Amino acid sequence: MEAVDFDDYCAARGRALVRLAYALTGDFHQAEDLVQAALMRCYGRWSKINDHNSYVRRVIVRIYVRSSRRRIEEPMAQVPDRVDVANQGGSDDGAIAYALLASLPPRQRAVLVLRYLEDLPDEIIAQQLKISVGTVKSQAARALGKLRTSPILPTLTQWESP
Amino acid sequence: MNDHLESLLRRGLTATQAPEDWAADELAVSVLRRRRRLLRRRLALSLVMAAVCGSTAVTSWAVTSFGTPTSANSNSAATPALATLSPPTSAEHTTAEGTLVGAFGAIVNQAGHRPVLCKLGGTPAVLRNTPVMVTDFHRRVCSAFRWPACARQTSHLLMP
Repeated sequence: MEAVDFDDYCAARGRALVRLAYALTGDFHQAEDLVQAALMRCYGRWSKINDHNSYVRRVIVRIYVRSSRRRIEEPMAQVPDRVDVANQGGSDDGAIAYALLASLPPRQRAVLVLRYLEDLPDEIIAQQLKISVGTVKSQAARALGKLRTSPILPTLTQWESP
Repeated sequence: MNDHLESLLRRGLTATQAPEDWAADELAVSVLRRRRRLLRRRLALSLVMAAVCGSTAVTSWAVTSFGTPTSANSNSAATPALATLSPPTSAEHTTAEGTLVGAFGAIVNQAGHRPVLCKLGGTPAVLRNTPVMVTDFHRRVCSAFRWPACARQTSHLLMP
């Protein structure tokens, strides 16, 4: 087992971890908080961890799913029908993707993020989320089906067409 | 449609990056600082819990040791303790044990006090009593069994 220094790991992988957490939460401050909470939990057993990337990612995803279940739903003043792409930071694809993901429940969102951002196979996603492979597939299919009927999607076809 | 959606999600998620001004070097520092704060909070909570448990234990010990009743209607303080009563060794004493306990219980119930019990060959156990009650108890119970420890009758009278 290769000994990985905690500071070096944070410096090297910090941005990737925050990006994963941002894809899950959709908010940068929440993402930073999530990464810190996960690393804090990992720090106590750092020397015993074999695969740090996999372990930290698993902790991030599980904390996100668990905390999202407990979180009290905050009422929004106004739910937008369409995404205002011009007001979103980053690329247009990113703005639409995050708007689509925001409409999903935590576990479905985690499945899609691990599949399309981290590019993980369903078996690994199942291990990370501690669910069966069948559940991963059904959650992904349900999430994609829901996104296909999203009112944001006409915007997508409009952008996709030359 | 599904391919479009999947490719959009893939492109959109991978295109996102952390802000440029975000310092990855400070991540470890902030994690360790946050961990120290959490440990301090847990330590403080443990100390508070230990203090509460300790004060509860001391209070309960003080109440039971000094005989302060917790409520005015408590009758448990008048109940005698029979644990220090040593059984007689000979067959004659064994047959009379029931009488002893009966007599002892009768004394307590009538007088409402705790008498002194005598141990075989040892120091008499100390219980709250009045000298009159002790004398009465010794005369009626201990003398009947002729216990060696009861030869010094004055020891009973010196009991608080």
